[in-house]
Amino acid sequence: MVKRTQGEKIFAVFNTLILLAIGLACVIPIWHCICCSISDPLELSAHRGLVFHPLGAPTLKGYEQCFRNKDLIRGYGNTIIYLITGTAFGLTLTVLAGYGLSRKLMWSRPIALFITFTMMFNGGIIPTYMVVRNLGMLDTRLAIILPTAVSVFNIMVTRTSFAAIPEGMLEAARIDGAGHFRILWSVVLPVSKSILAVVTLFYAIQIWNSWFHTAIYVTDRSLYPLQIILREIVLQNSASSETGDPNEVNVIQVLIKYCVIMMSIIPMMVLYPFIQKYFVSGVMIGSIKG
Amino acid sequence: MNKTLKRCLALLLAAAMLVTCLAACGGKDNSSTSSESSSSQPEESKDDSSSQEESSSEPAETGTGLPLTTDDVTIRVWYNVGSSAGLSDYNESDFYQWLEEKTGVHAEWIMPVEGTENESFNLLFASDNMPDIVQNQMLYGRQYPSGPDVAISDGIWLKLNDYENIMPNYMALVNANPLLQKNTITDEGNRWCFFYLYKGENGRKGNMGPAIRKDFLDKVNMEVPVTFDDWHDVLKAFKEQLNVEIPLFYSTAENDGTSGYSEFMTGFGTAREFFVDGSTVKYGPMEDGYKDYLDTFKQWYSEGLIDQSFSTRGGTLDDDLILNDKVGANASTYASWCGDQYYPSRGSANEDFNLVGAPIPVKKAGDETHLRNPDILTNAVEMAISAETKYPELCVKWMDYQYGEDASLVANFGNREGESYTIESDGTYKWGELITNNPDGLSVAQARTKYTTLNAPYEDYNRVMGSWTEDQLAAQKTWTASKDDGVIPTAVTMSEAEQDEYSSIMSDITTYVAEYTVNTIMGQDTQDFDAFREQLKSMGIERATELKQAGVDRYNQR
Amino acid sequence: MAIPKADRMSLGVRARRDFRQNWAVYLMLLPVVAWFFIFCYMPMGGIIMAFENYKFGKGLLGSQWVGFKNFTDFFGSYYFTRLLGNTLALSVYDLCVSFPASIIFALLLNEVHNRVFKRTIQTVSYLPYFISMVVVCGLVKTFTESGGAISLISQALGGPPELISNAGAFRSIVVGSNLWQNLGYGSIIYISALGSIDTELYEAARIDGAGRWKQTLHITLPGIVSTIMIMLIMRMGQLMTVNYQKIILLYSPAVYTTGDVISTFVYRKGLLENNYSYAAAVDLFNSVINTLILVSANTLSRKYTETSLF
Repeated sequence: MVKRTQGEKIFAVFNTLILLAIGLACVIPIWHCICCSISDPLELSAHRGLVFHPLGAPTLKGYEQCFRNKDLIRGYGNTIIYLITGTAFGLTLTVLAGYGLSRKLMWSRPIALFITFTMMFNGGIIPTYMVVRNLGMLDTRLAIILPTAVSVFNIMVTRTSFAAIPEGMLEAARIDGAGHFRILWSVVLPVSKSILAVVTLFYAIQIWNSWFHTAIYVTDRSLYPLQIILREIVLQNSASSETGDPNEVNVIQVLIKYCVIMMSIIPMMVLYPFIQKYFVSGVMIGSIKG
Repeated sequence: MNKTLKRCLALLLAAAMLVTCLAACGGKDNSSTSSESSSSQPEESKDDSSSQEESSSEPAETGTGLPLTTDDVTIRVWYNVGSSAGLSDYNESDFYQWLEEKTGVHAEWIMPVEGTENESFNLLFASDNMPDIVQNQMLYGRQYPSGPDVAISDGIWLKLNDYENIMPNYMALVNANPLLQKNTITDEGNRWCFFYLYKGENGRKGNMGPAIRKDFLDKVNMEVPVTFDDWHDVLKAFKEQLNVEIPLFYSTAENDGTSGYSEFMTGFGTAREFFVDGSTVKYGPMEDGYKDYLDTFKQWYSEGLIDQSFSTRGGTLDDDLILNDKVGANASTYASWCGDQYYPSRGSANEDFNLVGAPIPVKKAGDETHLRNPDILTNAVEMAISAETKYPELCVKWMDYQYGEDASLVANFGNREGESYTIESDGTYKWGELITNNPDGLSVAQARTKYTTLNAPYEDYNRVMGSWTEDQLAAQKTWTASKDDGVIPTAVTMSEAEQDEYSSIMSDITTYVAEYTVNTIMGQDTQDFDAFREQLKSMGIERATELKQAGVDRYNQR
Repeated sequence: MAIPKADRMSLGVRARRDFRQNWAVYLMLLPVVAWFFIFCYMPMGGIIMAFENYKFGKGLLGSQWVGFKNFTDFFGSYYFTRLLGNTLALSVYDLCVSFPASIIFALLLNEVHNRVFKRTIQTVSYLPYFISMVVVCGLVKTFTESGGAISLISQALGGPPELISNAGAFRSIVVGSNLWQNLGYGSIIYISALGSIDTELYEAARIDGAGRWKQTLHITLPGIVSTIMIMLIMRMGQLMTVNYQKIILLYSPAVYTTGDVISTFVYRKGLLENNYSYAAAVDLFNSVINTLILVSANTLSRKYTETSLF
């Protein structure tokens, strides 16, 4: 063990404190949401400011109310379908493109330009809608998965990571007679687990949170992902209108809002530790040791 | 090989796309579609007469043959139920099941996602698959962007003038009221849709206005305020004696420092936007009264009498504010929220809770005002029929049938006597327990949607008022005592070119006025009022006023 | 005049040779190129909307051609300079705060030896990203309206009683909430890059007697510099693009002076007022500026750090 200097010790203390503060800042609002979601609705609506423990007797009323919505379970199911297929599709294309662009080809730069150009220019909602329509994808699952399947950002990140793999490793494989597909599969991918995990997470979150284009392309309720249903639950109880009525449903609107927030976070929080494991192993393997 | 296959597929796809895209860009041939639909008319009527014969053995209920068709017909209806309805399909509703049974027409409901209604609506015009019947809501900006006249000449909506003979129920209602005759057609005389109508000669009376806590007034020993000075004293007393956090809640969805129906502006002779004075169109912020309004509210704001967050609330009065006695008065409230039951039953901590309607404030007692939540004859739903529909006559008849006596009864009160409605001793109908106190825990809106309709095509507003308390009826009476003749009718329209020019002027002006108003009230802006008006002039307010005036003139001449 | 033979080869010959060697790579690129062609380039035809008075009934080709009118209208608009200034100010502010913050956060984490602590902080820092924007904005509002926790602090320090309607505080609110939401998530990429630095390099440095600070300076930073550059270029390319959804959820006329930016303006014009042509023109203007910035950033980066996007 190398002896640490005085300065390093002081730094370590400060570092821990700073990180602790950041961690707390991230957790407190979420803890607030958790506590609110199981609070007594009346006490909740009377309360202002942060909540550090459930107000009143903890209750699952809000969640019950949410699950009364028939579409909710189907929404969860649909989202899982979109999450798996969409991520798989996006990841496949991204890895292929990332590898392709990391090679020194005659047309590498024009193709990279072709792709990055779309970050800046887009046709807008209506023309994109017309293309999707002309492909006959309106009201199908494809319209939810395909039009936003690939992200330039993820391609570029993957490419950068692939390009950092020492040329020698690839060269060795080539001398052994491996083709590009073989090199990608058995040399590049095994040493890139961490970037793959990152990109997977990026795609998964993007798909998990998206709702706008679905709302535009799909009118068939049986295809709706969770986010649209959750939005509806929130809006359903927030509209103050003439039809508002002295019914308990309205009193717990604040509660329902928090329940919906939790319902949209929990699955990702559950999924995250598994990916996190991959992160760590990816980091440990490192690119050279492979 | 797999990859080659993929490549071929991708290429094929790309090529196909290019072709279809180009074809789509070519635009539709409008003239041919509309002539097609009109030429198909005679055939249709033949079909219908035959179906009429078939069903003639059954007793004809409203004079027209029912069912409307014996074929297996499905019409597609774009309809924004709003998620508050809680139904995933409108066909689950009692009324529409009943309607299908009667008419023999199956409706397939296309419902936009809440929050994207306007986008979905606009995209209907970019798709080549227009539903047979489309719900417009001009009030919320959902209408063909170039206006109804152009929609007809572009071949989007069916021109209903040609079908008036087969829509007896609707036409009878419209013709019974000269104002309705005027309001349901365009400047060019086109009948482009079925308006949802209110029952009764005066339609629906204004149902929103200022409301104030009676229990607070009693505590400080004061009367319901009438003039602005009264309001000032009352609000100050709330603030100082009762320590009310927000003596006056004052906010709109646009956060523009006004109240929804100019309730606190009309007393100064101004308005939040355009209004008519006699037959002259005026723009509120250009009036001298606007300065008085700004000065007054600036004063009130600095004294803490109006909501310090009025510029960010977005018009929503959170329950927690009102339930916990943090609000003394609200500038614009629904009558159904007034009284001593509504909020306590939501869980107000205060048993004495009592919100009463207050008259539109004036400068000195006895002054007349001209703006408020107006009385209306048509509800904010307009059902247009696609010019491309395969069943123009059937759609017209299906819509018209809903205005008949039978249908409107079921639409308003459902078809479960004793459950969804009861008949009073005087023969009037009232909602039953199923609606007002649903055993399954549905809210009134949800129960209305399930057992009746949320918006009946021929709405009997008494069904709503029938469930009101004395206080709520009294509030409405207080508000409707003042005039609403300054309100510009929604039926005023502009030509496409006028509309383009008008919107391009007004979009900058609206932003500018909102900014100036809010900042002045909050004491953040020092620009003086004359400079503000000069700026409006240089932005073209005079031209916009001319355009609005022209529209109103044409409307008056209809 | 001895030009190497290879350089004299015609384009066709070189292309053929390149393809013969790398056809498999081109095959890999094909699906993604096709995807971009279909879903990004085909709709770009819609850009011509910016030069016409687009009407739904008339379609893209049938609408009236107005040339640069939409552009001149925008440049002559009362709000043009303010929108441009606000967009740049907000964007640069955001870039200066959140871009280095993620890197520093990743570096700080990298210095932690306790693995449990490190992983806990890391996991926790991603949480805000999972919360949808609507909710985040709702929370921000409750904290910054009058009586909200942050507003009360500001008031105690002699600031305005309400922050969310205060033009001077608005940018900080937006940047601050961006930081909160994206700090951990934005650092993932750097943490991943840090993980791929060869640990043997550190050992070697330690044997040479280099302290932690020196290791950071000479091994860690150079190890992630290419990632940093790529991220920076990408960010530069979106300098004029401010997340309008967030601002729309937070702003109000009271803070237009600092909060109204080009993308919110486009939103109001396009989606609220149906003036698609005008919105398309403003959008196109925005895109052109973005492209110029991106290309210059890319060129500079290629020149000085040998890292580039294209």
